[in-house]
Amino acid sequence: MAILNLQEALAVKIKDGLKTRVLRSPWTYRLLRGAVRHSHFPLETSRQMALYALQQTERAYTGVAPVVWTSAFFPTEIPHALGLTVFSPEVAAALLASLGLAEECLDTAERFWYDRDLCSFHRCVLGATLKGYFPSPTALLATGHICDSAPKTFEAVGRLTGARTFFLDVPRERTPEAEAYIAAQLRDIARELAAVCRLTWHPERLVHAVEASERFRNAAVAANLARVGDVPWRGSDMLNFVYLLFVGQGDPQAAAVYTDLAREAARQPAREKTRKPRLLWLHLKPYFDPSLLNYLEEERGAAIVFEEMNYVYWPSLAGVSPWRGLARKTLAHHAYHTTTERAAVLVSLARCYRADGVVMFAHQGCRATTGALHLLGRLVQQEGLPFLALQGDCIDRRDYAPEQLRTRLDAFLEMLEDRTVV
Amino acid sequence: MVFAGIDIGSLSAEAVLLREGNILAYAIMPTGANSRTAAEKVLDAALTKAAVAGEDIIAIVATGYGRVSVPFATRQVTEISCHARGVAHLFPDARTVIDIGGQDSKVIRMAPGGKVLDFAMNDKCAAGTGRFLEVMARALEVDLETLAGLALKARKAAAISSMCTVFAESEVVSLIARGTSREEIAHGLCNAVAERTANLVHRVGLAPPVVMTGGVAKNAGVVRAIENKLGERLLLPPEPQITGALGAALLAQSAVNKR
Repeated sequence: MAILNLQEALAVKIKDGLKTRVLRSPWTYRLLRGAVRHSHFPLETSRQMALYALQQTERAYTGVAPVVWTSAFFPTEIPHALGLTVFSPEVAAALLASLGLAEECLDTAERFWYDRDLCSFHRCVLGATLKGYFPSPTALLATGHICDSAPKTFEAVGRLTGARTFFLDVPRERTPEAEAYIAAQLRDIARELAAVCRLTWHPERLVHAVEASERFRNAAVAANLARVGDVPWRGSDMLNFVYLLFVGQGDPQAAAVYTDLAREAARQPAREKTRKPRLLWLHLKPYFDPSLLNYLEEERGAAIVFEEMNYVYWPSLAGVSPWRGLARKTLAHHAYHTTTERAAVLVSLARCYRADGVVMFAHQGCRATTGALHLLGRLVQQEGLPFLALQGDCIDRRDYAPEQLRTRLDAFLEMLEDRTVV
Repeated sequence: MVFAGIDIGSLSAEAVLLREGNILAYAIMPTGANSRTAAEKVLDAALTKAAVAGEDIIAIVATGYGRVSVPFATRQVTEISCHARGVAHLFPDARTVIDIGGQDSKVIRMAPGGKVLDFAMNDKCAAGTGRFLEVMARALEVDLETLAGLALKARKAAAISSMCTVFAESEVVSLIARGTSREEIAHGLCNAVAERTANLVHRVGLAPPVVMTGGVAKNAGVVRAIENKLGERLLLPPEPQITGALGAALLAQSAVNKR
């Protein structure tokens, strides 16, 4: 089969008026699985991830098991322990943007007073919910400790869908008391979630989910370590693995995909030696337009040597109770506590991956990103690392000025090249 | 050996011809709808002024938003690097460049020799740029030069709260209707541009001496407002509009000299 443009095929399928009927049809997934098997992927593991994503999407739309929506950074080990289908609406918003379908969702949300100041991931989620594009949730699991608009968005989705919404409250301090507080909440959420889904909670299944999560973590650490050896992968491709981080922790299948990624990384030859700048990339990317990162990595030949989103920020879950381990992991995110801590992590990543500079794709509407921007930039610069804040939007193309962003990227690369020459 | 720099901006195109580090000639003209045509025309105009044939040019560097539309350029370099280089040539001690052009404004902090250390650009809209001032001058029914003169005569400034060009225009119309003097409005507009520019300056850190370039550097009202806002005197090139093209020509020269 000739290489099929998967994104175009799916976009046409959804746009052709059948909309969610297409997504509920097993034939759609059979067709797409065939296409995935025969399409070109930059990494073999990307293909496996695409197949895993298709399987999860099929499960979500065909009602194999109750569907729970989880916000980014909610511990998905809990729904996986219950055998539920985990659906990340933020990842789905990114997919809609890449298919060119986000704008109609954004327009719909804006008609319902979800203003353009709100993060476009969440506006898109609300619009897609209003349009009935997403699979019906039985429950919603939200945390706002990294992404502060998620709880409000999930509350609104709960109203729209009638699904029970669970909120995780994460304290600022990283103390034993904070861990105990989170662990108790997670235990309550798990019990109530099981009741809402008419399932029985089996504690041993959480042990298995946490074991899978630990395998996932170990594989992610191994893949990241292999990349220190300068694996010639594109950062824009590696950013797609965020999908697994958001939905797969606690699922043995996702752990297997990450294990294969680590193996594939270990097999790669080192990147060709070049004088082109090496970059540490922060946050995400404009999903509606791959050309910006293609330009950076292909035309300009710059290398994104690591992405902050793929950093394994949490400690091993081994040796502690599952609840305590999940609580510790939730508290561990380096971007949650102080900007100083985050900057220190970024500087160490930049040193580890020998980055010449740091670029943050500063997503409009993300308070966590833009609020810390100035201090983060200054702290990174103080360590001798040039820092570029590339202000844009991951989902909403309506304020997008590609030439403006390219000029900023070009100027930053010229600045780095000038430093390298000297 | 002649080197050329061409700066294709959103509103105007500039070309500078250089021989042994000295400006032979330059030309400035509106960009119009076609960047490539503008590049050809502005280079031709500079060649005519210098009485030099095109074949005598050893290398051309194109800069500005239209830099990718200059197929005959030897190389494309961003306006950030070119402005820094042009300013370093004119003012070797300069450490900060403020460039306000037709649709963008930028601040560059630089090391001796024009090495860029950091930069910041306006984002998302053209507020506080040449286009903003053009629209406001039209609302006041004056030309840009008169707008600057009015601002300098004012004893106080009207408050212009919106930086959105469309909303600010309606604010100006309302102020006129309320009988606010044109001088106060012009001063308020210059202050609004200065406010936004000062914010950009502080993003990269103010380091004197500060040089202002770009078409808006010819507006004495804005220059004074920025000086007041920063508490720092601005140095102005003899022709602020050609600094980017000059930097481009210098980069063309350095690239050849390095070979």
